[in-house]
Amino acid sequence: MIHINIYRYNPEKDKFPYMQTFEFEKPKRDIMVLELLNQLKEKDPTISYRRSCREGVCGSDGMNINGKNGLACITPLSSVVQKNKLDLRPLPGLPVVRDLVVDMTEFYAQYEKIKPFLQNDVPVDIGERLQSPEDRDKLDGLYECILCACCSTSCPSFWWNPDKFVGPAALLQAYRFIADSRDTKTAERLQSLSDPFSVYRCHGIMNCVSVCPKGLNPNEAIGEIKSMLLSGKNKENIIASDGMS
Amino acid sequence: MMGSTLFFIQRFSALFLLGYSLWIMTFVFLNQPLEFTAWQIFTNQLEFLILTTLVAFISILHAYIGLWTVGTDYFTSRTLGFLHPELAKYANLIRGIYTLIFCIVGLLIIFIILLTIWS
Repeated sequence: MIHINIYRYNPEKDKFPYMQTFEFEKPKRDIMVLELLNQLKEKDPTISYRRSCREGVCGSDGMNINGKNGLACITPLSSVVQKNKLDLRPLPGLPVVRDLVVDMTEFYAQYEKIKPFLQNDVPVDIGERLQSPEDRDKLDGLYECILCACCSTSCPSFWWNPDKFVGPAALLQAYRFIADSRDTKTAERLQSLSDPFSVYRCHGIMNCVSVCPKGLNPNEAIGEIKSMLLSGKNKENIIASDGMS
Repeated sequence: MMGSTLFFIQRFSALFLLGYSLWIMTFVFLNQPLEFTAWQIFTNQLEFLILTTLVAFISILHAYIGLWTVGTDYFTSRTLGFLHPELAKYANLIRGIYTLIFCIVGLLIIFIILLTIWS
């Protein structure tokens, strides 16, 4: 038997959150944590959690699994159960709506702040903006983020200042547009991140890298943004100096 | 103030403090066994007095930025609210007192250093 401890909190009924233990018979074949939750929900329909695609694409079922953030749908039970025990909690740092469901408003507010869309003042004359294969390669490792919030909610800087520190997920996306050769607002994007909180509250502890279920490296992207801010160089400067040499 | 400015102040001040520490350690290492007269001559030279004065101010500046970061992490309405909801209301006051205490201690340290080396 596996002892599954699940964080329970229903603000309409409970004064305080508590951990509820469920006994679960060890499955013959390895299953994902989401499948385990689905089976438990059949026994207790009040257990609340988000899920949708069940294949690590939608990013809905981010949660804290035995102390480490991850996606329940792509986390095999065998990889997380220790001494027949498993703790499931909501993503840390965000307000809990119910059980494993958190309020993502602050996370999305930071995402909105970095203007996650292509900005280009030059009119398009051939119907689409073209990009060389080399420039397209620069976006690999950046565009794949599914906004599951596992990284940002594992970051202490984001816990303490979710309204000021942009957080690893949104910063990865900020760099995704800064690095995009088709985007012409690099200077403005960097300017909007130049205060002491937005980027500089990242102290490089790399929890974000450790937990990212897609294997991305927000810390590297943050490092690139810091380098651009510190050198005073933006993409246009770099392209101009490359052209002169 | 811009984040980059604070970043540079912290890094350059740290390098300055490292250089100063190495300078003092080198002197101690090269003058073994260290005698009081040698140490007195070393600490009475103008370079020592000027550099130590700079170190006093720079180390306080370095520490101020570090402790300001700590204060704005842990003494906010959100963080204090985790401890007790009532504390959240007084977050700015608590952070203000914390900053004031640090500034007083910092100025006191500078005063003591300057008094010690220049008197």
